[in-house]
Amino acid sequence: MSDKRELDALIGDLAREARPVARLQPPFVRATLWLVIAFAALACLVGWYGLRPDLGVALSEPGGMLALVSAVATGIAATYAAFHLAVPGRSSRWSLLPLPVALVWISGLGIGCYADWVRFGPEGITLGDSYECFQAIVLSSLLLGVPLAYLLRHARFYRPAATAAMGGLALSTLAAAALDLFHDTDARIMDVVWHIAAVALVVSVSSAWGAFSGAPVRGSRRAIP
Amino acid sequence: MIDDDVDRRWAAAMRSAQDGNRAVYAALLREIALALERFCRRRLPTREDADDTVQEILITLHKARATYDPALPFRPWLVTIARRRIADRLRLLKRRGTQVELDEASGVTFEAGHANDADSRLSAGELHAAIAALPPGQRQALEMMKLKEMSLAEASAASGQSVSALKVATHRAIAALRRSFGSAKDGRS
Repeated sequence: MSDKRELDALIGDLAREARPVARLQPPFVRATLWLVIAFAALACLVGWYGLRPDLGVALSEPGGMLALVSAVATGIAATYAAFHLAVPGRSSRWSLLPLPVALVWISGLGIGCYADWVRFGPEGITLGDSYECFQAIVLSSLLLGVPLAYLLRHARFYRPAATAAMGGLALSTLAAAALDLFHDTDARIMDVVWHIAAVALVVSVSSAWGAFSGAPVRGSRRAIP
Repeated sequence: MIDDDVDRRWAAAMRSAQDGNRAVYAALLREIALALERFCRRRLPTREDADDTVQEILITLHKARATYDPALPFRPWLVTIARRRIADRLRLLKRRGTQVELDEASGVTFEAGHANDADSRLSAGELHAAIAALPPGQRQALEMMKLKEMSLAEASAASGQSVSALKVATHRAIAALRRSFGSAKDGRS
């Protein structure tokens, strides 16, 4: 009986709190809006550093264009996946959307390494000095992650980890694509390793943050905002 | 959980609630709560867990109500939220498996009227948190005297504290728990 009274009281409180709310725009619209912001920000970043002088050569290398295009495609697919996952009632299968293009992206990076090895032998697989790539991807992801986290904030109550993981994948692959335009990231083995490590780090941290921030709502009226 | 007609009616009601119609919203929540009770009781071990989870689902629904698109069916939206809260509750129960035993073992401490009333409302986790919040000396005394059922002499030998110090610490620990349970009860009523 006390539980029934408690439930009635909760419903009364919630109804009193029920001010009109602006409905969220459809996920497709919101994802497109964020992509416009992200591309504008990354374009500014590329403009600031300037296109790398050997961009044409780099893109003509085996796997070069494939890696760039598939990184952008992965970022776009992960963005749409994240915005759909952030809304209750949308299929959790949205999280599969970016996987095919992500595999193509990793393949593109691998093809570059393989081509160097075929052409130059073991000397073609140079270690490189690519920690800068790692830093650039992580920092760009952090900056773009602030507006993205705000736009995806509703997901924290029901699908936080998967949404944040998709958001992290979107951030890091778009940042990696932008990096390819202004930084010398030939397919040296360490470039590939740092690229993938940066993406993995951003996705893992995003997912963990999502899981942590999605802590259960306690069954108490004190939890009402 | 609900048929198509009900789905359409609830979708229309939620649309109205999003526009600020409080009476429609309250009626919708009452109706949803009934369906959720059945939904949760089939998936959770006790009625108390189900009732708590229904409240958690309603609170989440309230916070997330802007995300509902009235052009889409209501049921998948509600079920996504409900399943998440049920999964959270099951995880919580699994994590607190040993603490449920703690709750039962210490039940004798809270037999008296007011405390017993609070005990029936509190979860094992809240009891555990209240014990964890005690000062170390009081917590140790309570654990030895009430949970491990050691005698005063045994507890004194194990802890190095005097018998009178143990009595005082146990008394203060129980008083502190009663106060925290009392305030928890007040917060819920």
